[in-house]
Amino acid sequence: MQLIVGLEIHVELKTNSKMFCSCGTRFGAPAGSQCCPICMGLPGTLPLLNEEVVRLGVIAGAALHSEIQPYSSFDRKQYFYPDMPKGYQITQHFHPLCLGGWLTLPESGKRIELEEMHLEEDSGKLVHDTDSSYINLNRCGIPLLEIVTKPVIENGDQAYEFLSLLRDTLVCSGVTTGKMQEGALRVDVNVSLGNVNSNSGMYRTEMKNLSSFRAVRMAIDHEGERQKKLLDDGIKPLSETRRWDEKGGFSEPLREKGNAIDYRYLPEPDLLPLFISEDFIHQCKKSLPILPEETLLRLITIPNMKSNQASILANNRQLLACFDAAYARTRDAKRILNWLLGDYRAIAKKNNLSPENPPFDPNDFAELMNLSIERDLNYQEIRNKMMLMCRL
Amino acid sequence: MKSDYGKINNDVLKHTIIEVLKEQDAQAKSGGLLDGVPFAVQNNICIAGAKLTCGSNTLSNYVSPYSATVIEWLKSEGAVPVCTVNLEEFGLEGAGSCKATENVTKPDMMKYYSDASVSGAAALVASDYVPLAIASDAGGGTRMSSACHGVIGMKPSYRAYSRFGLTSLSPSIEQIGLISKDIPLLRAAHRCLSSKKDPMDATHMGLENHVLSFSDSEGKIAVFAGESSSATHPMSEALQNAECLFANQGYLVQQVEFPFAEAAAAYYVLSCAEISASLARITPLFAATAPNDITWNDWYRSSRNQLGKEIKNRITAGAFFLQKENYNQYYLKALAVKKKICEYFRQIFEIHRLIITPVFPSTCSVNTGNFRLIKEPLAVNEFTTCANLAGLPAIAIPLAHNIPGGPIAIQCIAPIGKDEWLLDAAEILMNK
Repeated sequence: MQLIVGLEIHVELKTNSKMFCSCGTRFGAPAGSQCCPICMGLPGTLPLLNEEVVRLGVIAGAALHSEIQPYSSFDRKQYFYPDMPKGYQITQHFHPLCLGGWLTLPESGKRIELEEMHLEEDSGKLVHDTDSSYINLNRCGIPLLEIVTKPVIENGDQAYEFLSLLRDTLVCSGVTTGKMQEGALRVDVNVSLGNVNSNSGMYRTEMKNLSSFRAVRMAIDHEGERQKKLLDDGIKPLSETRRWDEKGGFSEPLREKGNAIDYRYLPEPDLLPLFISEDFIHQCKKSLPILPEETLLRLITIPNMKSNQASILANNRQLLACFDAAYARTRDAKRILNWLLGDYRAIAKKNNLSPENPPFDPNDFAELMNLSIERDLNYQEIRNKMMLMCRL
Repeated sequence: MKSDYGKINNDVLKHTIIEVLKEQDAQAKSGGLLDGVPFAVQNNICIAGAKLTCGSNTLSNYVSPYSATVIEWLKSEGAVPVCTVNLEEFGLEGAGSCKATENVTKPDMMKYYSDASVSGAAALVASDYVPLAIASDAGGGTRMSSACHGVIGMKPSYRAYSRFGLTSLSPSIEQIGLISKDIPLLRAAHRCLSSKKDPMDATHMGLENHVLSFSDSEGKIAVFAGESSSATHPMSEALQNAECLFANQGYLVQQVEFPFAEAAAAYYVLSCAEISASLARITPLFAATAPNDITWNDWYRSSRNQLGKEIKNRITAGAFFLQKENYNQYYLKALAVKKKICEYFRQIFEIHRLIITPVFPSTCSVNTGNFRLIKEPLAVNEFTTCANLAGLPAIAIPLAHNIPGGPIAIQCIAPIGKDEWLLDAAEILMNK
């Protein structure tokens, strides 16, 4: 018996305007200040697809090794909830934008495969007061990319590692702000216990809308324990949606899957299908920077490189440039990492500099490392020179 | 005249009329295609500041904050929206039984009910209150009610007019249509609405400007030779009349078969499916404040109770067709039939330039006028819905007015984009 976990990640795309209208997307704007007849779903209005949403979707697909579909289309997912004025959400059910894809976890080398990725609109937000409830429609129609993994994740740590790398990759490629506190990434977790090969498929529980990776890790491990206990007692866990209480560190049932909603999907007649040209995909791929996944896989092979150090470098272009320049000259990773991630960051902290963005040129740093070896400089001498480079 | 169609029921509109006329006077503006033409607007098309009831109690107090593109475009050519008119609830194509408000009777024959969704608009045009009306056509509304009232009702090619601001029931087959007695006026309004591209409607394309005129093009006229030809019915007489008129002008007329019944069934599934989703949007929740003394659930439930019976039937049917276990069996099958119907039409139009059909089938007696007796609203519209299904332009042309029970009309269907051929055909048939 082993834990089998699949994730669904909702990523807020970094656009200036909403998915189907020209309303702004600024986080924290006064309630109700960023909506119009279209995103409020007033009678007679029609959605107009924001091209930037498609571009970011394709870029995300390229960054995650997904197959970007030349033909995709939109559907209405019907359910009633007060925060969704149209009574349906426009999503891509029958023909999603991207199929497949993966990310490789640097340390274990495990490949987390993706099922599909699709574009959809966000709903509004309910705000509950002591005696009344309010609906803030600002979030209605904010573009989301939903990424669905295959059920291949084995434990909380792996989920945590995957989500961190996913977030870094999407932030690096400019797809999202990645700001967890603003809800830029929200995760649903599916958990079951079984034999991977025989694919349990007997039941699974779902926990929706976890807002931190820490919560995801805890929720998965906790849910695994809970299910194991039930199975040990000879009870088959129910297929149900559970709510994870982050403060209390426990989960409780929300509703059984047996009562799951049938979303009655309908192809969206107000939008044309989305045709994406080879050329457009090529342009998007070309615009991608070197991504954390690739960098990590390169860095992790360097002797004396620890995975947390690799991860810091992979997500900070300036630090990575300094490391690469110095490593090319000296091949002494340990020395470079000590100075770059240890001493420089300590100096930066003390002197109000950015720990991620050293003020010196990567070549100067490489020269310093080189000198320190050639002239056998002592600690204080190197540190003094580094202070000078920081103009301190 | 009984009943409440064609009320100038709105201060905003009165205001608009005065404003527009003043403005036109001030600028001494002329040269618009539709200068000074007053037109009626079916009340499921938005006019900023005017009530948009969609003929439903659900929206009885809703005021639209914006105007539909068609309104803006007609106004920009000098036309003036003068009133909103009553309709079947949400423009449901039906037989006079789906109305939340009073029934519409024919202006000339009070004992008959006016038929179909667009009854108010057609009645108003028929009684010379306005020369032009715009109304939705989801399954034949404009054509059927125009036929009932002896006026011309035209539905353009799918994607020809903008739908922005139309409270669509079935967006994939619905278009705004035109109603008038006057062919040049219809042509002007048609050009006004189809010559530009609306950036607010992703599905809107407009039409190409220059198409070969009807008389200069080639091809025979196809006449539908189905059940109706066997009926001893004024309708088949009308069809024969039309045949003769075309033949006299030197056109070759040929009889063809067409699977209308199958098309009507597919239409029912597709339109119900879309109705169930489209009406999820129509909650009065955005139009009103919740009363203090009821719970959220009760408020929502009470708003839904205001929907008419037929609308509820369609929503229920549509929800059923879209259920996971029924989707393939109903919705996908209907889509396949739609494809087949399109192909059928394509083949006919390879050798024909126009199809003539009745507006109503033979099973439905136009003479009694009493459509309320019809149990299956579907039975009355199998000729009109196929044009919606295939996205083709179609028109109802009145041929005889002095028959007991009401006027007789025939329907013409043209290939996609050849909308103006319908008006050419109307000229031929009406100027006999």
